[in-house]
Amino acid sequence: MENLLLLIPLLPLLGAIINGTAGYFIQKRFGGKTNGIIATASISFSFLIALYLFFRLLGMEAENRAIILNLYSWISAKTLEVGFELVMDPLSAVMILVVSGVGSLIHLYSIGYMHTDKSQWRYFAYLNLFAFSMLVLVMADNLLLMFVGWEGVGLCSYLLIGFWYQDSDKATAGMKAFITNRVGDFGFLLGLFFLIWGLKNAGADISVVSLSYQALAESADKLSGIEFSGIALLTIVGLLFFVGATGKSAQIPLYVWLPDAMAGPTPVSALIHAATMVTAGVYMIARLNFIYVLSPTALTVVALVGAATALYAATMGFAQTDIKKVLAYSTISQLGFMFAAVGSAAFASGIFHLMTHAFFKACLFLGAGSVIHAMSGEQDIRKMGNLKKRIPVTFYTFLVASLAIAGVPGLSGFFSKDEILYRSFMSAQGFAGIWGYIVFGLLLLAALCTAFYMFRLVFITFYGEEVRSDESVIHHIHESPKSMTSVLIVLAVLSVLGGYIGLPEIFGVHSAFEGFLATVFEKSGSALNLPSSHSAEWIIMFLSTVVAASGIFAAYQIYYKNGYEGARNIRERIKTVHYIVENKYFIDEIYNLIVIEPVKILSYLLSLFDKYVIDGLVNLCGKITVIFANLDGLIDKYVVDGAVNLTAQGIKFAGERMRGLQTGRIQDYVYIMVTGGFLGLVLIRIINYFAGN
Amino acid sequence: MLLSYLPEILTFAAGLLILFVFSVRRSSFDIITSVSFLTLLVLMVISVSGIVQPDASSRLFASSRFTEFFRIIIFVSLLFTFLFSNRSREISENTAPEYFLMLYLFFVAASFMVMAENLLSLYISMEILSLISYICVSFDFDRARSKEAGLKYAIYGAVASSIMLFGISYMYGTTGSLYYSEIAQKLQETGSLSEPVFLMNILVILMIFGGLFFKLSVFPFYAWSPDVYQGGPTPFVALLSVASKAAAIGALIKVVMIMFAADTNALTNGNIALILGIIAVLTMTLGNLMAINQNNLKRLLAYSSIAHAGYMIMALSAVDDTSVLAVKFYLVAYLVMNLGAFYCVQIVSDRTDSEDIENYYGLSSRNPYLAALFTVFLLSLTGIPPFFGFIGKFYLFAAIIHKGGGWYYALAIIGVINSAISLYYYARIIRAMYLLNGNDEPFVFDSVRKYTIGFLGVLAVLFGVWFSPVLRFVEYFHTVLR
Repeated sequence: MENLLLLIPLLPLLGAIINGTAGYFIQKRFGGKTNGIIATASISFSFLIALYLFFRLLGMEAENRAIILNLYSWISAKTLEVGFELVMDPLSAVMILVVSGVGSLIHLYSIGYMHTDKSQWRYFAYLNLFAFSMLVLVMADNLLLMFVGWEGVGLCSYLLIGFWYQDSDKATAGMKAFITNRVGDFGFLLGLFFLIWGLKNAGADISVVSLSYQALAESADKLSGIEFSGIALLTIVGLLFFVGATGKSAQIPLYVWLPDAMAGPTPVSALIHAATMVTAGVYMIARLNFIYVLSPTALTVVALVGAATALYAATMGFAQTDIKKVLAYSTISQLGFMFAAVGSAAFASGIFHLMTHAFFKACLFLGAGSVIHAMSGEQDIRKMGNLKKRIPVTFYTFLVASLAIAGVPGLSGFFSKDEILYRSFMSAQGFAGIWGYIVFGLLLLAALCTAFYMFRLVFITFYGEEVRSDESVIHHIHESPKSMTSVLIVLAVLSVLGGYIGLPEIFGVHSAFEGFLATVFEKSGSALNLPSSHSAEWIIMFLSTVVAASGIFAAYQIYYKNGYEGARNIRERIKTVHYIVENKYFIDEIYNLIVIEPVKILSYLLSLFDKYVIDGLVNLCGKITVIFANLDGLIDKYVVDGAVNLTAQGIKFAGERMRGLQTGRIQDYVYIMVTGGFLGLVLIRIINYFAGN
Repeated sequence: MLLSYLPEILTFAAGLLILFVFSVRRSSFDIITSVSFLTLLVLMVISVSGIVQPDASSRLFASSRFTEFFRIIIFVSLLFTFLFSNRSREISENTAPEYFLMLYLFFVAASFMVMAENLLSLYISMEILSLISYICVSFDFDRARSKEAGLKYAIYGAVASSIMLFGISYMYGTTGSLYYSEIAQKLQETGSLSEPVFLMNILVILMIFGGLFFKLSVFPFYAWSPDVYQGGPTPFVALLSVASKAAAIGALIKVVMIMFAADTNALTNGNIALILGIIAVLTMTLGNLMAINQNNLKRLLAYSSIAHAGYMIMALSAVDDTSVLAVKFYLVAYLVMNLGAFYCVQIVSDRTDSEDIENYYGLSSRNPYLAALFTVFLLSLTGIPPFFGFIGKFYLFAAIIHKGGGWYYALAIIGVINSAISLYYYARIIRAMYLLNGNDEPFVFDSVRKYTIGFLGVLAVLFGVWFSPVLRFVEYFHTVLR
């Protein structure tokens, strides 16, 4: 059973290898569809295996519910002993199912979406490679192996954002994502180093550091007393890992890459930049819950940054006109919700929202893809309208997903979002204090904004009098092929039903989802000892319903009739604010001014240094070597040859015989042999003399 | 007892049989090669199968795990040589059976050389090996260059071996024995020596080493190798640069570690380490400096292999167990990358009839596969990670730094400087292949060669990142010398 675990990441890797090496020929010979089928099949099998193992997992005793595969000892350096270990415990099981399940659907969708592309083999190879890296990330049983997956998904994200690399804007977007992520990765690595330092040198007395979660969880208590220059080590570690998470999961201040990442193909946006990769940060913090619960400071920072991002990104959604950009900011905002949840020590709620978000956000992105597909590549919502009748399947699935994300009662988003609001409120009464209320307030506002910008999008895109576009485009509008719409329907159904596995306790049931994850987070529950209150939960549920309804109603009022133009009056009135929001608060420009330009100047100065100083030195060394070599050549030519000519008389007879072979140099060689031997002898004697013998 | 020499006996018999069969019934080159290859493969399997047990009862020769390691190295390099001798421009189909007999005998002589436990048996097996080498170098009968190389090699070898023989006779005169272990005992009993006697003794040690240094092409016995490498048939020269050196270094390790084991007696008193160290410095420096201005790639590789012998001697100068292990590990790496580099040169020269660097201009566009592999071998020879050569060099330097002391640190620094110099001439070839433009006609070669160098290339990369199996292999054969 353990060995099956290996197949889950291995199958997509195999698919990536097949498509990466032979894919070009496959596409040429059998058409790009075959590439897609290979890739889809490999990840689907992974999903089936994961599903089988998941049921086996359910059959195990709740206390030790985990399948662990220790493949081999990966790094063994005296006291650092890191294994290549894969694990499937409740937490990673959820992630594996989401990644392989949603991944399979999106692979399937891509077959239709990419059917005209020239290098589908490359696309599917990257996509499979991504699935492999992401599975390694979530299945790794130690932090170092997780980092391998962490870097792998970063690479694949870069490759896929810049998939159409001939377009320099898209290639730049890829680089931006990669570099921004590197900043975060730096934090991750530093956190790792601090952790190892703490475990090894700061008195925790761990004989062998394995970095596996189990071992870390057991030794986390020992770290809690340790300080580094006056700050608790666990706070430093927690914050550094969170820096890593802000990079990967697009939180303030490293969120800037995600909107640009929409340059990639839409299924990629759905899979990597909405459903899976960007949630890696949330997963990591949930994974390291045993570290965070010991540092309320770090937790509070996570919650605050998450809540601030949630609201901040939601406001940017108001002024965007690109359908994918709206969804991108929405993703950032929803990720903020997840971070607020884990920051409120509600790890299970964070993961719950991660899962429901994967369903409805993937559905939204793929729906957007379907719209773009229908509109012949148009992404500007101002040019759309009244698409409701023309592409009905896309419309209804999109509507369902929008209702879910807005938090309309009964749909998945409602349950998970409500859970987060409630938990953040309760955290205020525990460790977070006043900050908890601030988080709660920010989240509530963000929920309002979410309902508004989502329905702004829905009304502008799907309602209104007529499509505001060219005749040729309108003529071409058509519903997407079955392979795409079927995926939309599956995801829409999941967006509705996905919430019912985590019904809150006030409905008289015990949350199945939370119960399932409980073993992973058992420590965190007891460590912080948070209160619970049914009445508060009822009130918050009511509040969030009101918020969702008013957001939708506001959007209806403004946009239902006239689409984008409906808001013209409002735009006129708040011209400056709108200008700022529309330009994303000029954060990109500010980063450009304070980070990128100085780096450019520095690199220019360094290049000058390199050119004149370093190169000069290198050239000097080269020159000296050449001089010596020439000197050697001269010695060979004049000194040795001269001496040889002297002795040549003595062995003239031999020389005469050799002339038939056109060279007389053999005596030269023998001469070198003999003189060299004596030279060696003299050298040995001299060195021997100075060595004191 | 005979059973422990079974590989040598069977190889000898098989060589004669192959000569007989194919002289009676002339066959094509391909068939002769295939038969010889498969036969040798079977023999190699037999020799590692466990039938052959180490034997230390004889006094002239002794087989052990240590000698088995060198047996395998020589076997493997011979197998590659067979593949590349086939259809070589330089070896005529008519003389193929004789050529393969020579290669079979080469194995016998080289293997006995490592197994020798007595200066005279060492001398004799070395002499046989030399004779075979002289013949094989001049096997390209139609070319004056090949004949010239053979003759030069023979004359030079004659001088070197007579010097060695003189050293041996002097040693016999002073200690009364030719056995390594007995000489070691006698040396221990030597009292303090006067200056002239001491110097004479050092000279004698140098002379005894001389024959082995000649085989290793180490200063001051290196001068033959560029001419011989340039003139001789490339597949055999490649063998010469690997197997012949392997046998010589095996024998040298035994002489150093058994005969001068203590290195504390009045005669040697640390001088063995000193001799080897000085020789190593001179060899590396000379080999690398001379290679810089070479335009003929075979000559260049000859100088490079001189330098590599220098690196190995450098590590050996630590005269301890770690350094022997490092040298053996390096031999495996050296086998892979040096054979690979020589075969790349052979593939080009078989087509263009020349080894000049001009033929490599723009090779990357004419045959990217060959250019990429050649680059891998060259970078590996330089010792750049992640290639096999880097790990090999790492162990060499680690061995002498492990030994410690000012002299060894200085040696290590000189070694590193030399490695840096070597990058210059290796990179020159890479530059020629990738940056300079030559004629554009596509370049193809047959698939056996393609897969063989591909295989070597894969090993050069694979073992560069995953070297623990090689280490385990070398450690397995690293027990006692006897």
